Amino acid sequence: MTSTVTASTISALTSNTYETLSTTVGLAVVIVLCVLLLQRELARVFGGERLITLIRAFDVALLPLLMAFLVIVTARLAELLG
Amino acid sequence: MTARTARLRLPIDARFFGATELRLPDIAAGLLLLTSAALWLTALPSIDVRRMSDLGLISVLPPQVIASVILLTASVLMLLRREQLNAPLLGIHLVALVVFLYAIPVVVEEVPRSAVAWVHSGFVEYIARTGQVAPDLEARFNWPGFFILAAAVTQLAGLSSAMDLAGWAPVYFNLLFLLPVAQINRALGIDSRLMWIGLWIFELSNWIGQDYFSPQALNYFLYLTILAVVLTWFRVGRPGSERVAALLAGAKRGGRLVARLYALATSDDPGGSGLSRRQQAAVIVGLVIVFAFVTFSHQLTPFFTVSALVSLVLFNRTVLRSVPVLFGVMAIAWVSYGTVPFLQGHVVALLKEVGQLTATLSENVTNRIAGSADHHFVVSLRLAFTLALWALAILGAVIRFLDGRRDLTVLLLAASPIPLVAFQAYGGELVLRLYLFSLPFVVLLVAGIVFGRPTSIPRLATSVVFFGAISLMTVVFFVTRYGNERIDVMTSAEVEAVRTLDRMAPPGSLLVAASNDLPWKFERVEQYSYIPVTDEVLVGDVGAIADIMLNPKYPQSFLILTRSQGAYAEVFTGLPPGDWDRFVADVTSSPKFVRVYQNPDAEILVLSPAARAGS
Repeated sequence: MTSTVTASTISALTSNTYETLSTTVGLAVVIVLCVLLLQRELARVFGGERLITLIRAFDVALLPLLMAFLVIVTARLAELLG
Repeated sequence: MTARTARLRLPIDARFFGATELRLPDIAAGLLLLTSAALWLTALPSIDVRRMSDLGLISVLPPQVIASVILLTASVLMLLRREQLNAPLLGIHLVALVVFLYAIPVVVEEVPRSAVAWVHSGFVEYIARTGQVAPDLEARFNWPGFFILAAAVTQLAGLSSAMDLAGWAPVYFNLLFLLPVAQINRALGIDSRLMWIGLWIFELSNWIGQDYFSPQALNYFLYLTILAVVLTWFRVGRPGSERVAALLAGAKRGGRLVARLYALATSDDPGGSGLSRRQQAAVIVGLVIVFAFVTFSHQLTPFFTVSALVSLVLFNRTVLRSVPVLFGVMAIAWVSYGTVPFLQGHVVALLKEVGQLTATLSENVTNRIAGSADHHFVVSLRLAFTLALWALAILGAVIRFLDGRRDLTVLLLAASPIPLVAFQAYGGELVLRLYLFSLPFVVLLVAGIVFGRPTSIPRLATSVVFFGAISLMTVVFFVTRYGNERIDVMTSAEVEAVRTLDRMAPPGSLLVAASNDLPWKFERVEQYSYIPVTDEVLVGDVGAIADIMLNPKYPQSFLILTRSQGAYAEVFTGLPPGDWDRFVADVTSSPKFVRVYQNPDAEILVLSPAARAGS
């Protein structure tokens, strides 16, 4: 079976430095969170039933992402304190 | 013939003043304006900043300057008594007020004031020269937005240095602040007379001095602009729900009281203007871009902005429910990822301050009452004025409430900075910033004691009393605003001495001064190490200063002593008059030092060969 995972992805995923993981994963969470929040606001502006459904879908993803964001920030602060 | 109906035909086009014909009050106001300008201009040449006492600029300020502002105030109050307001003429008066209050140092001082402005200029110079920021060099580089923008503007404008922008900063920033504050007033449907007098009091109450060439000044303008946009285009006109109100009123226990409280908390905001959906989307994206800039250019403003927006969302005053969360994520993300060099050295201290309200208040308030007796008076007057203004704002809120006005949005925005006091002392400055961020809304409530009452034009007797209060405020302004001027003023001789030091000192040298109060670090800031030796100066320990300079880590060490450092020592640390001169004499006569440069305001010394040999 051919793997679809590229070498760079493997490298990023298996990188064992906390700093790399914290930065890459954390930034990814931040970016996704910001995009979702902005899209939620824009969806409210344009209205419509389809967009209201979209907003509800965003809400499902938002809370876990927010919690992940808070965990990441707390972990970074804890690392700096350590 | 009354002032309201007196007319005069003149051979000039009255349409410039927004009127189809000039009336007697307009002409009288114009004459008062010209007279006050003449008084102000003719008073300036007699100001000698070198004779200032620890009371600051007021000690050398001719009474004509204060009289010019009082005349201007009289003119404005006369214009505000007209049935139809002349907005362009009122605007000219406001611009004149800003110039009269904030342009004095630019005109009478030799070089731009404030040691910190010179440091900021140095950051801009570094970015313009190297194309990079240096977060490891200086904490403020972790929020480099303002400095990058200033570097771009300096280069685009072909200026030799950012100090060319710094001199007039208080004037142009205070003019800029008026625009979003006026728009906030319009968006909230505030009575026009109340708005104008609110703007007037805003300028007379802005003693904080955070309008110099700094990230805070620009970001304060952006904070006000964000609020103006949100309140103009994204306000909820009817925050309350009739269903909820009926439900609460029908509740068995205490329903009527709860219903009344709910009605108060959801009182309507008047007016509102619409945008198309595409325009709304574009404005929201614009807000995000502006806030992104705020996030990476100032430490505090993002959190004041989030606090203001959260308060609006909690009370259903805005439809932008996701924006405060988005802005909060952006602000925290920048601190977590963009300011790691700063956090590494400060995170423990920052976290220790969380929840330490007593310590924060102590650092921000009581610890400031230090230094010379005159400086004690200045600080005490600042505290008294601040408390009086806040007390008058509460009184104004109560009076307007009894008049049937529900200023919930104004109250929310005035109070929204308060929670941040629980998180940080910000080096003893957080309460000052709290005052600044709540000021546009506080002054509106203060002005509401007299203006914007059920009859828009106050009675003549009330206006006269109000005029007396504003006149007193004018005098207080010049003490509170310019009370530190003896420290803030810099001279061309001091700047020349620092330039000479920069030419003398090889890269890597240690530059020592009695304090940070001198115009240094404005060129090649990264090439030297800087140490203020305030404690050693206070006890006159010349030997300890020499020991610091003997550090073998540095190829050479220089000590620079300036007039401004002496002023700082006397005003802020309470060094008795004469002690500074004795200290300088001790240093220059000490066998450990050799003077290599001197001018009337500064001296530069190095360690003597004997001192170096003895190390």
